[in-house]
Amino acid sequence: MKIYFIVTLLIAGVVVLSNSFCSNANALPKDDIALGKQLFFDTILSSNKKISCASCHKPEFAFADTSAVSPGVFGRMGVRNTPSAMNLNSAAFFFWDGRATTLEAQAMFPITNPLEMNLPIDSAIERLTKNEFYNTAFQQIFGEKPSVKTLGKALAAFQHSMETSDSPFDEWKTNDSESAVSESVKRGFELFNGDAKCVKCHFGTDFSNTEFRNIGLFNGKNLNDSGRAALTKNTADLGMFKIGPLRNIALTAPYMHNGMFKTLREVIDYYDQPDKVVGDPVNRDTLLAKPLNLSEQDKQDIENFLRSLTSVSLEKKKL
Amino acid sequence: MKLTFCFLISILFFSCRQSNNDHNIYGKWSLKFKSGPLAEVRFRNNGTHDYYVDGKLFSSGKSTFKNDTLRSYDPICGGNGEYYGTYTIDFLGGDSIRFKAIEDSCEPRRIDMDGTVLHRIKK
Repeated sequence: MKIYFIVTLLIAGVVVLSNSFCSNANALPKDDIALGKQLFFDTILSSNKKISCASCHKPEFAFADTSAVSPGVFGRMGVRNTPSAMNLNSAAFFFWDGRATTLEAQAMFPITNPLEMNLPIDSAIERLTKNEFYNTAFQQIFGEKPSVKTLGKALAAFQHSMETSDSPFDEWKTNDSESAVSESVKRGFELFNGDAKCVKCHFGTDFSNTEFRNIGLFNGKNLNDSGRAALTKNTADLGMFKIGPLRNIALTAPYMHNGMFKTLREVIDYYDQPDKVVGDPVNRDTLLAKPLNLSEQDKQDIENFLRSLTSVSLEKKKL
Repeated sequence: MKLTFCFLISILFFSCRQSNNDHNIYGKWSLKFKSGPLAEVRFRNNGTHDYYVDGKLFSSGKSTFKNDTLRSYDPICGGNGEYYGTYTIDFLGGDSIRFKAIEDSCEPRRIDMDGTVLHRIKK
């Protein structure tokens, strides 16, 4: 009996020691991007240590989420759809209401938001400073202890690194490969740039824009998120939201600030006949004043074009 | 005499042809906008053009080029309208062109393009 006890004790000791050895052997991140990535996936930045940035910004969905709104600490639900954390290098504003103007500043909001990670920023910095691994990593990479500034820099560096330009669309347009996409995709791009008017808002390297627009999803009743106006207190901003990038959009359903559209087709149907979905919009952009009257083929072509914006490497990871 | 005449005509023909070739904007060009980024523009002989920034397509438009004048249409300018521009193209030696604005309904584009020099990207 005694011998069994000793053997068990020895095995437990070996397990504990090897675990300890392995965790100490975790290589320090080589640069700010690697450090940011580690932090992005670490639950250390949430009050109950159960939520990380990646809990809502899921890599397999282009760093977005699959639910209309995402659960934070203690199951508390957020109020707006989780946007993709990728392809933000050309963005001038962050969050649906544009409350942050840099990725560094943006990174702090979810950490402190009571509905998301719920950790006061001082507590976050204290945790990182007391954590031997992170304290050493920050000193090695930034030459100083963890701070609001260096935490923001690390997380922003990781997000800056998440650019994609390897979609079939890129292969067609940038690499001049006519066979990279179907004729339907090409027709969809033509519609996108022309009769469907999508390009009026979605343009630039990531098919986003630096503007805010009201696409008619605010009526002050059942759709009562006033968007940018809640931030600016300007009535002209009622119902306005940031124009989101379209790269990898096929992976980031559901759509819009409230996640009310489950599929790309629902989105296209909405833009085609917005009054059929929201009959009493407030302050809706004049671009949506008249129905587009797209044909079934048009809709399919636009959807195929949007799907062609999916990064090939992301698609492979998903499989 | 006849032979000399034919020879001179041939020279004239080929030099005119050469001149036409020089004044050809189709192909890939690089440009540095006054406002910052290094970009690329591709004029295609099917009447379309594409602008690229940092290796990604930024916008696509349509254009015609005749008598060293480029008439261009791009669907974006931060508003809801349509935006046409007309530019004179100065050919600076073999590999560079300069845009000179005649008119443009898109003021930001006019500011970016007027006086901008493009350099042909060699294959």
